[in-house]
Amino acid sequence: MTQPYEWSVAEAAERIRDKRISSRGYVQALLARIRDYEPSLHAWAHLAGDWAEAQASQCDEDTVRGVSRGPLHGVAVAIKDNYDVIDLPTRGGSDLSDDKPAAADAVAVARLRRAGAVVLGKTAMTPFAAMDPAPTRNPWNGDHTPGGSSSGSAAAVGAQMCAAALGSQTAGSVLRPAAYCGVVGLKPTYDAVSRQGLMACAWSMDHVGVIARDVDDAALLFGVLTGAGPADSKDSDGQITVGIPDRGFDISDASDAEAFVGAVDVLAKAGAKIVSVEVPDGLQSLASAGILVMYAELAAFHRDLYSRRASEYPPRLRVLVEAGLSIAAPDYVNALRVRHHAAGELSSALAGLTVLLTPTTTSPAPSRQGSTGDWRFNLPFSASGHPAITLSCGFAKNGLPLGIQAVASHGREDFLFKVGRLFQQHSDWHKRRAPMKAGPI
Amino acid sequence: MSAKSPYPMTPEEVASYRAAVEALVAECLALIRDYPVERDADPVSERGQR
Repeated sequence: MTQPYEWSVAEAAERIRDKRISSRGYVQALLARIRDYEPSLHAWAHLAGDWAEAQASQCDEDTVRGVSRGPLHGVAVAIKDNYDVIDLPTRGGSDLSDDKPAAADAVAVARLRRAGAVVLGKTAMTPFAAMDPAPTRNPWNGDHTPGGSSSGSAAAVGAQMCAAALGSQTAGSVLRPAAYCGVVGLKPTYDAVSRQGLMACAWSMDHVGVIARDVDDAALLFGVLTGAGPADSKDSDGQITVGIPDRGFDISDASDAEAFVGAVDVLAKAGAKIVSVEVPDGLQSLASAGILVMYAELAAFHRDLYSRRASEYPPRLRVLVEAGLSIAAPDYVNALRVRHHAAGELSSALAGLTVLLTPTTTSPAPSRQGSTGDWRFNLPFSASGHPAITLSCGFAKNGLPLGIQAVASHGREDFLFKVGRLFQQHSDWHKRRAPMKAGPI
Repeated sequence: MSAKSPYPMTPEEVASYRAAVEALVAECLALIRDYPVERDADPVSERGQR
């Protein structure tokens, strides 16, 4: 018999709907698991256990009356600390932020709750979604980073403290931690999900994102977040064409690259057509423009607070704010123009493909001392706004998870789910779980 | 949680990080400055994308 913390979102929803478990019983099981492992994992910024139990009890009362709030009725989720959740402070991973409780839920949070989700609390993140590490550890090996900035969301899902969490991505802050923690991370098309109530990092590159343990759950949550319902493929019978870039996505260790080769082989054997894709010349320009835009917008967000409290800023963020302040307005405008042009080139390259497939990261999770890892494989697609998903595809020789990143044309999340489902139907990497032990990891 | 990182940096590490970020910004600026500035107010690069 499986334990409640092992269930996917869809499995938990089904059991609660069928009254095989109450929402409160489910939430209590997750809270017990969190109590066991949080002292060593540090995934949570604010755990709202009593409130979660109260929300769950209200769901149970609705269940008794025959009322279902929606597809997430009674299922617990975690929210990254840069989203507003009513009556909780939005600290964005930093005590430099206003401690005042949010007056309303962010749109993404409201949509989850309207669909019946129970909020367990806020997850830890790097301060202001930048590069200074959060205290969170990787559930697969506590000496390694869970990635960032959605550190706690990825670690909590990877450690089976909850089945799904909200993250956010500006460069690689959903896909990278999801890959490092061996779970699924989805960054939808830019603007597909409202960012109202999400604390900005860099406005024109911030994306709402989802972290879950399988593709079906990611698709379910995406449908709830967009308000469009289940995100099924629009042309499910079509041939799947997977493009492999001819350069620019080399993994640092050749033996770790075997996992990517194996993943391509899984898709080929499952019927996908594999083609080599010439990477557009503009991809490097896209990444460069994205970095400049990100740093300039980050500096614009922080300029006032930084002018008053610079000495309290964490060291990496301080460097990044100063770098952003040094970027001249004509260079920022030019970066926007180049980004627009280069994103168009990338759209053309994606047009004939179901997805472009790359490794998600340059390596498995590095040591947690001072780094949240490298976002260079994710940043171009955050700059271009194309939707991307990461799927667990094996393990490095040091035992840490590795991921594949699939990227599709704007608005074609259904392609990501189609390829992702095919991959997970023909592999079992997504069923592997971190070998959690009670006490220090 | 404190705004300060749980992994503080030594002055030498900060200097090294700053040098790396500044070099990255300089590299990015050089790359985008190579892009031609178009005279047309409706740039060729943006036609067909609206």
